[in-house]
Amino acid sequence: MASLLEVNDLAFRYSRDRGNVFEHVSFTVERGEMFTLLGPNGAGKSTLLNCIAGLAAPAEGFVHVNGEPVESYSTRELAKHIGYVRQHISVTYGYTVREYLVMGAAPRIGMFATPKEEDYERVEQAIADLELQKLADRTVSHLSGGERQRVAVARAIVQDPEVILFDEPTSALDFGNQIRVMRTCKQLTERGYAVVMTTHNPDQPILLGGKVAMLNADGTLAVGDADTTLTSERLSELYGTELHLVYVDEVDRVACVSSKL
Amino acid sequence: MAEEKPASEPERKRKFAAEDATIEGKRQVPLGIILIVCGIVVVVFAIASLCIGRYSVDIQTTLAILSSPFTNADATWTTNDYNVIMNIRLPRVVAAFLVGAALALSGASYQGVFQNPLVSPDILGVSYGACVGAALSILLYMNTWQTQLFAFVGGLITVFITVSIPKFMHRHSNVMMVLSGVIVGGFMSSILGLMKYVADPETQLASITYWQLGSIAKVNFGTLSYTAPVMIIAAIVLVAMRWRLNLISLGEEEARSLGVDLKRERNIIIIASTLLTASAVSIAGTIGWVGLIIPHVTRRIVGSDNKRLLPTVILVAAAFMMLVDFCARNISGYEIPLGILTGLVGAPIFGYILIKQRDAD
Repeated sequence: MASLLEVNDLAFRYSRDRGNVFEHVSFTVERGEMFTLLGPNGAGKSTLLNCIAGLAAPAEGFVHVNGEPVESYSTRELAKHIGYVRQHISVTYGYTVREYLVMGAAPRIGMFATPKEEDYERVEQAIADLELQKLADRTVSHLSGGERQRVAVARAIVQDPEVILFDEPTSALDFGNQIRVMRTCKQLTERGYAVVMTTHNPDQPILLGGKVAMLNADGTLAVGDADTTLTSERLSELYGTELHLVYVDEVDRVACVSSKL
Repeated sequence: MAEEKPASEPERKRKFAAEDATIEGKRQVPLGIILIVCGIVVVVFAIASLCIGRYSVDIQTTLAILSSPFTNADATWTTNDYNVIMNIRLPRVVAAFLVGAALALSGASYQGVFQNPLVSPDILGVSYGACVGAALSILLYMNTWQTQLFAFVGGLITVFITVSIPKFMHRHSNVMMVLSGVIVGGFMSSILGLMKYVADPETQLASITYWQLGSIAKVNFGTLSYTAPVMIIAAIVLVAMRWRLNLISLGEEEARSLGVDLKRERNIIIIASTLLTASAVSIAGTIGWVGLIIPHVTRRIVGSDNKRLLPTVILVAAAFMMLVDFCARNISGYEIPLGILTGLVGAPIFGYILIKQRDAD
């Protein structure tokens, strides 16, 4: 049976006369699986997500969703399979959170139609799931970064795809909100969603578990279980600085720490 | 969760204040009630526009004349009363409704498509093209009907050129489209300048200038019978796609990841908006501010959701345009061009919105 998401020998370059941003990238993601894409700034993590979402065309290789090439889906059909939560949620107009959330139902609404009662029921369910009741009537552009991320996750739940892509969802958040967003991502996998998340924080795949892929600066990818793939040597090489994986008794887990400055 | 300082604050400061028009925290008034209230205002303004003028007709007579095509009541009015109401003022009232609604509806739609609350209906150069078309017909000594046709076609050709440039360059972003509009609009503006330069200063130059200032004084049902169907069909398309505008206004990548067929849907909205603007400009000349101001004002009433905004904007703009035309006819002994009045009213309203928004911030 075909994997939910299959990325095979993928390469991307911005133009023919420029080198590959990444190449030979292959991995699969199944339902309910957490897949963390780890890499330094500029490694091409967001570009890889764009290729998976059908927003950027790879130079080589392919992306299959449920065994079908991603480009064979119409934009609307693809949105039923893949949801995308971006790093920065910027809204030009003063949409309220409810108005913003119901936009997640778009793949199931015709071009000349408007949301129906059942779509608003899904919105209310997502609001309840993520405890957004206090934000529901506020304007999205007035929310803090952490609140916006939670609202964006809620919209992905309303969209109800099989795979949800998160592009560095914690990069602009304080520590508490980072933890809250990661907890939400993990809960999504428990509900059966496949989650593909990019991050440049090596502690996050350790916390989240599941599969981890390290997108190296040379554009190649190392994939495996978080427990076995992440080593001090690999992380030090990836980030070009000395890093250590140490066991912390108090929290009963491994953590990534740097040497003294 | 602990309250944190909104990370969006600097971003908000950078953004234009009026875009934040919101009904945050307030319970939304049902759209039906808003539309009924706005509809009543439109009807009241329409009746006032029909009754009041240099030749006044009382309200009973006006209503009797209006209903006469549908009833067999005996005529209790003079021929003058009938002509003034049915042949002079009624076409003007209908034209004011259509022109106002068309400009504001297309303005709101363009603002959604280009994710920019400062966009006005002539962003793609339609008004410049219409002016060139109208000026050409005036230079060729054509009649009013032909001038309207030339203006309409001129507007459409200009927008066609504007949207063709990004296509030719294989660059389909909104920024490219707006830049293309600037290029084509600037070029058309120079062509218009050239036409004015060669025009007979006594007759043609005055006609071109007056046409540019905007007026619906020469509108009749003959003219409207050609333009109204185009406007109504385009308006129906935009109102039907009003919720899609919300999605498109999120930005290109965001809209696509929500399943929007961006190229197709954006093109449909641009075509419908252009047809509305070109139709409005062809019958009324260039009337500024309506397409910019009315969507802003209406957002303050119903919020930013285009599902509520677009139907409301039609009625608010229609009422505004009727009021402006009423003032144009009655303020002085001479008819004041509409473009002058909309500017005189629109600019202070825009300033007021800015001040209110600053206070809210």
